[in-house]
Amino acid sequence: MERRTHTLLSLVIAAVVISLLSIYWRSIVQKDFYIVESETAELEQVESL
Amino acid sequence: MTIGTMPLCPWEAPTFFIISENAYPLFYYAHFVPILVGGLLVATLLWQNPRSLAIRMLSILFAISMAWILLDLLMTATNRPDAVVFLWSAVVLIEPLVYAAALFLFYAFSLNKLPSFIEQAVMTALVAPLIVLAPTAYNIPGIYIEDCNADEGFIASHYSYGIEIAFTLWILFLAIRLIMRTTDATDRRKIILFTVGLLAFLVSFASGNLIGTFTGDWVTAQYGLFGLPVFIGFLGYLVARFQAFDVKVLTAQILVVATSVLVFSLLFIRTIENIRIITVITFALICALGYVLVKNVRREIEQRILIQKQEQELEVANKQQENLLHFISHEVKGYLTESEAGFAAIAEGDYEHTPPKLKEMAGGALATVRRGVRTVMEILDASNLKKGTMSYRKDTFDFKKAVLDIAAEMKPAAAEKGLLIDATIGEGLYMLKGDEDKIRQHVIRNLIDNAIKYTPAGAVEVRLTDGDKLRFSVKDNGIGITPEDMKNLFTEGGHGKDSIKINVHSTGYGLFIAKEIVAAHGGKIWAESDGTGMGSKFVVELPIS
Repeated sequence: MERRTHTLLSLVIAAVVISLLSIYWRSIVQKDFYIVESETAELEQVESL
Repeated sequence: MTIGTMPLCPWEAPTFFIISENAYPLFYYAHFVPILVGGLLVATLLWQNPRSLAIRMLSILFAISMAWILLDLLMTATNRPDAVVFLWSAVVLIEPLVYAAALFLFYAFSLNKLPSFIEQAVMTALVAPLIVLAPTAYNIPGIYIEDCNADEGFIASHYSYGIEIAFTLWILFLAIRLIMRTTDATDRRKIILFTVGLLAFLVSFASGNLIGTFTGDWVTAQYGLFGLPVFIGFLGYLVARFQAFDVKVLTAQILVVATSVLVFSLLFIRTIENIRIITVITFALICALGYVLVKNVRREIEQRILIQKQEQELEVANKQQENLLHFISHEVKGYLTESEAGFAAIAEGDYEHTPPKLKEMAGGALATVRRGVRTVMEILDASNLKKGTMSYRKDTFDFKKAVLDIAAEMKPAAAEKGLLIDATIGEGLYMLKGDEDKIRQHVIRNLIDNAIKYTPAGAVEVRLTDGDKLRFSVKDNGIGITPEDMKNLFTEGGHGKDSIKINVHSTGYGLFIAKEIVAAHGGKIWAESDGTGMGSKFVVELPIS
């Protein structure tokens, strides 16, 4: 395999791994997401707005 | 239900991470069949031909798909919203990578290469925003607690599908271009079948997830996963029909195991509402596999019978040809020997008043006839060796003397070409038990003679050393041996590509006979060369008596 192709693929794999770790950090550790109690409740809320 | 302050989805935590009341039988069926059948196919292909680029790419594609399936299983089973957000985000990140791997596989299978650097850079540029934004709210901002489905952001609901469509179209474009350029009908059929199978997988996979994203019906979305077994079916057919991936798999065995897996996975269907459709799908798959299996086995049996018949015919024809060759050589040898005696008598002055011109002509004719006798003898010896009718004497003789005699005899022939024969023999006893004439003629003379013939200028080094075994070597700086020629060197009629241009009178039996004779004396012979123009070295090892 060409050297620069090898480097590019290695970078992509490293980026994917870092991205997966960040996803873990955001969702499991930080719990940085909202929870909608009910889809219908949310719809009603949106309509009333 | 809550853990700490975090509410939980309205079902119990899963057992063994994947057994959950939120997952239904179809779900397990759709996930387990690809894992089992795909794993089986990839393991078999890797076992058969681990160095193939296409099989390696196929393994990567399956590994990423398996990771996707496993994460999807865990995601559906869990009742923890944070775990769902983690797994869902990861699934969105991994999904386009399945398509990228499929594109790599297409390049490897159809063009036997990987995408170029530029093409890989374009692929990276497409995937980069996804990798960067996957851990943000642009991917999965939140979750609906009542069914633990994610609220998908732009990345999950649009961008990832955009990449998938782009990669699928890329494959389609490459395939159409390649199909139009391919002139061989079999190759074209192979590429068409492969493309159809791969696209069936990619399109059904994306469609399933698109249905889930835009309708919220994640049950129907599961049918999208059935594209993978369909693709595996196409791959199995390609292997069976065209020996694709350069593997000669016992297709029958694989199909039997694949069918068993399908039937076994029916055990996961427990509820009545899904059993009918699943049974129909499984039955159809088993029928299709069974048809291919029966057809394949029948063809194999027919081929085997044909091969056996051809083998018998070939054996008879070979024997007839060998007998004929033996007869002709024997007859020709008789005529040549008589002529040899006649010419020898004239050349050596047995008749009185022979004009000098006639003597000179007879001398030339004698040399030619003797060459002819040697050639015929070589063919006869090869024929005897093949028939197993070669007999050997078992006398003790001095191998060193034999080498020195022959080196001295060959010196004039070498000098004619301006070559030097450098014979160096170490101290020691070189007594050998065997057939002196045959060793002299077919081993020592043959190797030195070859070295002279195939060396345009320089020297021929003849070495003899002792130790546990007697080691005789002839080294030249001649035309050398290519790795391709090296394979056929000691076989019957095993001419090198270039050697025949230099030595047009060669029968091609010389080294074959040498090898057989050395083997009959419990020794071995081999050649060493760094390639064309790099010279060669022939080594003989024989046990000392």
